[in-house]
Amino acid sequence: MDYLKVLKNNNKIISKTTYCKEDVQTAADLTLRCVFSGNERCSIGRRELLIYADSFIMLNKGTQYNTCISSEIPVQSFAITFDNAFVTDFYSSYTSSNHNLLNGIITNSAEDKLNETLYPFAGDIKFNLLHLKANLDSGLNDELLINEYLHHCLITYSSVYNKEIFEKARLLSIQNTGTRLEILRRLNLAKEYLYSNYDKNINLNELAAYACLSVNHLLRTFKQAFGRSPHQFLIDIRLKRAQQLLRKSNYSVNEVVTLIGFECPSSFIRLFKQRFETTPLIYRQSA
Amino acid sequence: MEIKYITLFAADISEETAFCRDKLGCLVKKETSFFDGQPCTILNGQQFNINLVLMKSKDGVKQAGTVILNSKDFLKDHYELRQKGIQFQSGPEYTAGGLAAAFTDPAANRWLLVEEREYNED
Repeated sequence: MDYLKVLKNNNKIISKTTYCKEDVQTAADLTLRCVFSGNERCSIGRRELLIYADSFIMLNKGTQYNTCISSEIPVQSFAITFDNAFVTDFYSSYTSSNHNLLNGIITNSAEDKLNETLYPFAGDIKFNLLHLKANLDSGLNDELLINEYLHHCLITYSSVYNKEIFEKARLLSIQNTGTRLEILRRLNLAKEYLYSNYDKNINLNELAAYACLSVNHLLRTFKQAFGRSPHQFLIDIRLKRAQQLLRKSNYSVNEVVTLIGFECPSSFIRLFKQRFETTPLIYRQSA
Repeated sequence: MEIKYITLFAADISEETAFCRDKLGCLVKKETSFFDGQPCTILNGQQFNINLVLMKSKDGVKQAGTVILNSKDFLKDHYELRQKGIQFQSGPEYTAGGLAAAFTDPAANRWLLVEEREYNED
């Protein structure tokens, strides 16, 4: 269902289902973008991010980006732009301590530039957005309730951000906090490159150059932060995409193998079986 | 056999009945007696698939219980209950099993609104 909802407090929600679309936009305020089916390509400068239904991106105020949808199946894209005052109020009420609130000290984190990368679209943030979308699709107009959902989107986003940025940065064996966060930002570039190019042959040198890290530094720190080597991480993305294709498309197993970037069907079947304890065909039949 | 009723005790049955009717949308089904000659009020909530039996608590005995309300959309139900004047004891809490918040009725029975969430699904 397509709609653009502008609330009285200037929060905006856009839902669109399309096969083909190209847009150049500037994030007027903090903007969350996700898809509920298919995928959307989002370019920010030289970075090209592929957003599937298992990830979302949060764009900072003022970021210029280009979105592109070109698909054989309809892509349901969904975007929320949180008004700056709404975000400021959220941070002051939710993340400030009671002591700060009582003393009128407001932390204006709405102005902080957050790490713009792909985040896992799973757990509470996904449940909350699915409920919001279902209600909006059914005609919900109560702005108080819609804002309640948006408030909880920010709560759950804060929790995702904490887990994906601060907790992962702490895993890096680097003393300086600022350096840790900067290395993690570069590792996230590598991670989003894997997510967005999983179907291609990825060269480790290219990946390291994209992340502005040396190959050795990338290999060492990537495993510290994400618990897996970039190669293992890539295999996991491919197997997850294979699961989706087996579940939701009619492509043959050999076609799926090509689509997810594997060259050899037998190694795909072996890895699929290792990971999910079932063969691709049995998985498809039981899905 | 099936579990058909859950029992709530209250010192003031009419106050408790009004709470369940006005705040939770229950309908008074009948007033009857099941055992020991004790009068009880049976309430039927359209959104609940179980009936409530309200019984008078014994003087000076605390008999408050806990009822868990399962919600398919916690934020919506939580909002609607607050609109009806229910005051929750604290804000919604994200737990390992889902999203939850609690309120009490006039007889100090605890009602827990829960949306169970399965986090392991792809």
